[in-house]
Amino acid sequence: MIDNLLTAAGLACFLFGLFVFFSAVLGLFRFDYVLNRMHAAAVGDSLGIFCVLIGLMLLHGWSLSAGKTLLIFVFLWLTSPVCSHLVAEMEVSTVPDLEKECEVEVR
Amino acid sequence: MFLLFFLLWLLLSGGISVHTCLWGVAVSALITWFCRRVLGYEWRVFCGSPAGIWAMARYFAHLLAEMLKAGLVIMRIIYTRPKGIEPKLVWFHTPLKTDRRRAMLADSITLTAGTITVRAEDGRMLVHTLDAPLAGGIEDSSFQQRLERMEAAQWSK
Repeated sequence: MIDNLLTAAGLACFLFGLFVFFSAVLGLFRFDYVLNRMHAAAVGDSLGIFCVLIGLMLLHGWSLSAGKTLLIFVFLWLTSPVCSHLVAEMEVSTVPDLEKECEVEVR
Repeated sequence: MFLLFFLLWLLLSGGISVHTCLWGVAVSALITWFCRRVLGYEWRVFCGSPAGIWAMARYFAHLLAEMLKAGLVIMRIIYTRPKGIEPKLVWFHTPLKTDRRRAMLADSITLTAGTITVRAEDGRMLVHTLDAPLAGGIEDSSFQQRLERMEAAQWSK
């Protein structure tokens, strides 16, 4: 019974994660500027990966592979913000008229 | 740091035997020596008081919750009004003193979908937000308040 429940919860998480990735890809096409598109990609990086990996952990049960999956979380969430930051900085540094694309505010 | 490398070795090698442990000790010692001598890492990366570790654990739990919430918000924007957004670049000043906490704040902001730290220099940060409401209160976010409290606790020791 508990196994069935865990499998159902794992499948639900996994499928929701796939839906999140689908939304992230859709967002890449729907948004019209590179910095905005990066936010859509970030949805997949955070919510999508979380749901897929939690789903896999629930499906496989607590084992060594679950520990390795946790490691994927750690490495992915350590490296992903650095990459996003570098891409965003490159875009902001090289675009000549940034104010045309978005409002700049100093607080 | 040695212990961390050793645990990582055991986790990746997939079993505990004398052979694995001996190789693990040798490789972990070598990597620890390399990190200290060549990369200049400190020994006490994860050391801290129990209260500090507890505060850090609560911070990461809060970060996880915020990441998931922000993901849902951005998904809603993708489906409902992808052309009606008001993206913004916001410069703000952070009162955090240490580079470590500033890096944590910048990483947390970037991990939360909808906000990306574009630049961080001398206590000032440039953050890109996808929509105007996401930029509200970014200069005094819950991440910053928690990090400020953790920094204050560190200095008061």
